[in-house]
Amino acid sequence: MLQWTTLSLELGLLALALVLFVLDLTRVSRRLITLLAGLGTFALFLFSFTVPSTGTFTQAFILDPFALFLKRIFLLAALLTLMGASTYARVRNYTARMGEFILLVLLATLGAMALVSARDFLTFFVAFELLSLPIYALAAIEKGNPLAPEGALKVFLFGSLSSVALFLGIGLLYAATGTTFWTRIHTVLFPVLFQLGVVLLLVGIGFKIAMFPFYMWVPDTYEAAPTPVVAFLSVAPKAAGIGVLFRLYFEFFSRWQGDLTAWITVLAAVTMIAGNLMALPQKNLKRLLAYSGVAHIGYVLTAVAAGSRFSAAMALFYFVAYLFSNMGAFLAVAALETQGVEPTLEGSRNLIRRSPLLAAAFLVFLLSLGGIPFVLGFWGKLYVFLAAGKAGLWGLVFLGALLAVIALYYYLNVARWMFIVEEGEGSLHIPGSLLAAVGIAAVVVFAGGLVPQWLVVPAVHAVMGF
Amino acid sequence: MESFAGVGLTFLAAVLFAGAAVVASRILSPRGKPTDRAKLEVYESGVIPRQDAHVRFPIRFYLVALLFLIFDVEIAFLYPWALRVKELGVVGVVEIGLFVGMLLAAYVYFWRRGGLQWQ
Amino acid sequence: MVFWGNLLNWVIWVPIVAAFVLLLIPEQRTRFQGWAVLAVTLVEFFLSTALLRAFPRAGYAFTLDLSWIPPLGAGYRIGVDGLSVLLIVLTTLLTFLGAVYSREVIRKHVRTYWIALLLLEGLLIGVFAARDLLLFFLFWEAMLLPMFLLIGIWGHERRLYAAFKFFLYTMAGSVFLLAGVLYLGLKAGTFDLDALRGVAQNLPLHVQTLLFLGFMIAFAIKVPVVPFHTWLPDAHVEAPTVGSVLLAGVLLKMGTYGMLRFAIPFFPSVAVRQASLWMALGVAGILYGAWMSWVQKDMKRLIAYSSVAHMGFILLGMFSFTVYGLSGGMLQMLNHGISTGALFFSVGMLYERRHSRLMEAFGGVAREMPVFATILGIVAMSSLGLPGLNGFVGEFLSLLGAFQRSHLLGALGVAGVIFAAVYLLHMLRQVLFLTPHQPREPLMDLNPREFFVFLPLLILIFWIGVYPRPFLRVLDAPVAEIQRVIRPHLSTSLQTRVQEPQHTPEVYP
Repeated sequence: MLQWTTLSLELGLLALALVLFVLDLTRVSRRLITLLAGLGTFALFLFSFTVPSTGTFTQAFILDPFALFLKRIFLLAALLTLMGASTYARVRNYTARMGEFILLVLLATLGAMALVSARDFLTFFVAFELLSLPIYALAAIEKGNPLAPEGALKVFLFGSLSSVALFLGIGLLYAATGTTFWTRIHTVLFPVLFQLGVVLLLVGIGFKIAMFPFYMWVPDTYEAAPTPVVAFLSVAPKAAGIGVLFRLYFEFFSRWQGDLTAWITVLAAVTMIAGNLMALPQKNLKRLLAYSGVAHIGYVLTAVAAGSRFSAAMALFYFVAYLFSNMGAFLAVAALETQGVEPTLEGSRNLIRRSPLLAAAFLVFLLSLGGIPFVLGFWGKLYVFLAAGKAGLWGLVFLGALLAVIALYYYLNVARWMFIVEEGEGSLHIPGSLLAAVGIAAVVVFAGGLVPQWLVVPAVHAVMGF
Repeated sequence: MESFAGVGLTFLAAVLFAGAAVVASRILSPRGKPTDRAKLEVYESGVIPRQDAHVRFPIRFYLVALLFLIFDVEIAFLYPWALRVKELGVVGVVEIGLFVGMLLAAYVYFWRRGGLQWQ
Repeated sequence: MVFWGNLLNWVIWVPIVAAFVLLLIPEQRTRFQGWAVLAVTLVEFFLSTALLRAFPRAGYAFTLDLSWIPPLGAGYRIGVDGLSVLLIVLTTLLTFLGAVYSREVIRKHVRTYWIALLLLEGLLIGVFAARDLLLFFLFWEAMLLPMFLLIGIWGHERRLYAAFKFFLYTMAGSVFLLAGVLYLGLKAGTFDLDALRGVAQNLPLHVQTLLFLGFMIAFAIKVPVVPFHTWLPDAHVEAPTVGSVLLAGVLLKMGTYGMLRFAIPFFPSVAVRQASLWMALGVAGILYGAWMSWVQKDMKRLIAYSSVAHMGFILLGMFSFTVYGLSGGMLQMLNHGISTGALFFSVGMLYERRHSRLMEAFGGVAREMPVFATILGIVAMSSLGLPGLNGFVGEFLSLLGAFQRSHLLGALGVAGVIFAAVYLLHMLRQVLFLTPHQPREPLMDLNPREFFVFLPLLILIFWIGVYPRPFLRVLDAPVAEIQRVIRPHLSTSLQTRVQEPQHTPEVYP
């Protein structure tokens, strides 16, 4: 008997996406549809607390607390994106494509949700593509923007490349083991093919999570794509990629590959270094956040390198912190853009005078991303370091902490333009929905920093299954 | 291990075939500079090319092609379902209904957005 | 109920909560904000003095022990001993005086200024009250931000450079601290200070050495001990007056406090082994700071370097591990906060009048501002350690302690006292007495507000100078505690030298 309840979240999301898609073809106003999309996503988020947290649907799909935790992250990411999107679409003149926008965001979310539940390579690949394809279209949705085609093309080409690598990897793994089910592998026939397959698998995921050296597409795409999309792009695919990496780690690599720690350690270190150093000279806020996002993936990879249940929990927690701080920062940038402000350091000058609330929220996000105590991001870093320390990776801990100091330089540099540079006139009137999204994120980042255990404990519980 | 022998043989044959073609053309092709303008032309089965190979089709052709693809895929799924309709039972009917419904939604979208208007 | 009933808890959180409440007051109502902040800081000062009534006694008072992040073993553990309580009172006093002073000086972003000031106060108190290593680290790090803003927004010309330098320097030091904190926390499964102590002392010696150095680097940058001091002159010079006052008066003490509270009790055997090294660095700071002060033209820079010298005395006293040295070092922490705070206030007032910090810009101030000149004279004397004023007691005890350990280092330290006299008297002569080359606009003498800022500091200067016993008695228990931890690790010959006298010496009747 198939356990359909296992799929209830995915089915619900699919139904929501399709209903809204069809509604968009009728005369229902786009505002209402956006509102319904947001409410529906939120309802699903609430619903996710009532579904049974374990179950399998055939051998290819598993629902466990780990997956469920990540699914909630995706739903929240989609929700924040939708909250930011409608005003942004109006300013950037693509309200006419808002129906498609919603559909694509929800489908990408569906892909991410399926991805972290996948337990065989075919489901994995289909979910991976379902996550990727809508993003290509989303990156190009702002047709009027002359930069959009370039950014969209970059994400498309690199995305396709990663799919190819992934598919080849999967093929090789199948050739080497004779099955696509991770748990059904009994023997490895061709170790060489197997190794090659694992490497290609990592390459494919590496593109998605923007790991070194596969992050080249990130800044250009982030700069060109509509900012709410970027906010989504900077969290959901990365969280999905890391989630699947952990699942592979526990259910697949650990059984057949032995220790990947050395590899991932090097990758984490290099990713942190590259992201932080590349972010230093950036003048465009979106590019800066793009590179800082690469650096953050380096920190999460530190947890992956630790490769324990504890570190998986800490990575989950890190993503919660990252979700709110990073999406908050991007949405704040989007709020600036809706007022015709260039998303650059120069453009953000004297924000404290022009929009004190936005400036305060932005400061909270920057502090969180930089890892200053009493905001959520600090705990993320601390826990990840703790996990790495537990695994004995003190070198990574030290490197990460050192790079965090460098990171603070560029985060504070943003704060400097917003708070200390005094030229810059004209007060901004940030639209309500965006301000609400930014505000919610800021409040969570701040409150979560005071009582992190409310988020850590669920994260720890979420990895009990492994 | 034996089951992969076929794969290996096919791979071997492919390499040999491709390699043989390259080697053969290297041996058989005339050497030195081309003496004749015709030898510099694009090979079009002896016919002299009349225009650039880059021809721009109206985008609607692509749209129709995509639409065709939708139904093509639909058919590809419907046949196997039809063969096993009894075994799959109610669940199968519901599933295939969902599947067709989704494609239908895409079709309606295509229609409403003017994909079928030729002018 | 435990949470709400704890006085110390109130002392920590009142300013922080007040800072957030301030956000609700409209930005234009600066007068009201000023009065409100004044009220809060005054209340805060009285609250903190109420902490004093529990002393002297051994151990911690006003303790609160709540589980906070159970999976980590990190708790919300606070409590104060004599040392913390003195530093907390110093913080609240200087913040209150700072609020009095800046109410009519700060003109731009007034509300943000108050918020930064109150946050800084609360977080500083948190640093001194934390009895949990992680909590301490949190406060330690978080404190940087308001200070960064204070320097960066309201500072002088090169404020951004100074703010970034200050921030990044301290953060770089914190990396070592963080690594040490995490390592210890993982080893012990808790961040409770008392529990950590037992665990830390049983680690292999090379691990202990590494951890000790990690802690010490972070603290040494904060103090600053000589090779790590380069951020200090810039930060002090560019910070606004109140920023400098708090920076010199309180922030620097975080370093020495950290050494006394964490580095030394956690790793006593390493601390004893390396004592000569750190004492030597202290002497280096004394001499280097004095020499650098000598050649400065900028008064703030002069005082900044004099801070380096004074902190050297503290280090010298502390690492002698004698009763004299330890109590002298601790008392000197308080003294330095008072004297240097007062000096920075003076320079700030001069700057308000003539918009220059160069000594050449002044001269003959004694004639135009007699009251101010008297006060500056007293403060400078206290800073250079004139007997009868507070500075003397601390320095004398520190040097006494140093002599018990090493005559050479003690002698070099005494030389520093002489240099201090040279540069401070040089400044007094230049600013107060020398006739200026060309006539300048006359300066107004102190107004009541400014006089009020000095009043409590002057009282303390004389009080500690003449009758330091109450202060030393408060410090008795912390000194005895350090001694208790250190003693087993001292060699026998040192033990006899360090032990006598059994009680805090009464230098004054």
